[in-house]
Amino acid sequence: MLPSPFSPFLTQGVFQGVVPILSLGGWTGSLYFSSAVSTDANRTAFATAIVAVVSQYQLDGIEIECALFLSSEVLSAHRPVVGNIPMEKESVATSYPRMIAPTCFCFCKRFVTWFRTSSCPPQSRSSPSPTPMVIPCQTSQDLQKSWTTSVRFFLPSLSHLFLTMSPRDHELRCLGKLV
Amino acid sequence: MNYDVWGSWFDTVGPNAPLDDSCAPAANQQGSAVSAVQSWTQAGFPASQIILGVAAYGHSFRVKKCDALDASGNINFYAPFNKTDQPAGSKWDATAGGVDICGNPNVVGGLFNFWGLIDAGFLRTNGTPSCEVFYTFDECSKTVRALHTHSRKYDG
Repeated sequence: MLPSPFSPFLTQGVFQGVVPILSLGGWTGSLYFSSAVSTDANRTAFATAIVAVVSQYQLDGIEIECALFLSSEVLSAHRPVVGNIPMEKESVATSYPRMIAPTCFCFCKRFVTWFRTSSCPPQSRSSPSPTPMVIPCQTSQDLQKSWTTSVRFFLPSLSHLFLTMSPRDHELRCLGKLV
Repeated sequence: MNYDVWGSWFDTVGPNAPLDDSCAPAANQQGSAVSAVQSWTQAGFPASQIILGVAAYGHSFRVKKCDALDASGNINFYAPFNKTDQPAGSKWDATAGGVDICGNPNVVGGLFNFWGLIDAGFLRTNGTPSCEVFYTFDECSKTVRALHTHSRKYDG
């Protein structure tokens, strides 16, 4: 493992009252969410890497930021919508590589599924053997509940979880502090 | 969002994500984590509800050797760079060609994160700088400035 310059930086921040969280995505990073969840192997590797980083640096939270910069007209013409939520449609990502919202929602659903269904590694298991709650991901509220429940299963010490989608026609969605 | 304070849109090299700029020359006080948090809290925003984004990447620039170093041979923190020759970033960086979803031309981003610096030869696999890299640490912005002497790439 590399000697990390982040540990003293984080230690000083925590000492000053900062709550450190890991942020993923953004303008360029969002382009890789799709491939990160495209196969079981990729999903496992991606989720395992997140758990490892959060555990190594004892971070208090995770933020997944999905960037999108399309008009609502373009979006509605190329994707099915249930309520206000864009649903998974693989062909959209092929036609519009920068159209991230469906990919992100797909990513989020698959990521939650990974957390729900993967076997719990012994080092991450909180006692006594929790059974993650299965919540259908049909609305953003359901998705948030699933994320909260599922991520806490693997990272029980996590106190903050943010799912941020920034398309023009969607409000900023934040899960905020886990209670 | 304490990042992209400096980049290819500027006239000089500068820190991507300065933690502080109160100690920088006045002309180079373009905003920092310290000044941003200070502004928000002075405006009445509770510090406990501020989320500060700290970048884990840097921008690359192509700089002439005579501009990169001062008379004493130290790295010039705010050197001019060649705007017409943006060095490529890491393998995951944006590349030129076509247009983005807004209709703007895609351009080389020039972004490097930590593994990208290793991949490009700036750093060895153990995280130490390679022998072709001259580097220093800006105590004000808390930024490492690395100069790849062969390619004259400058990453900050």
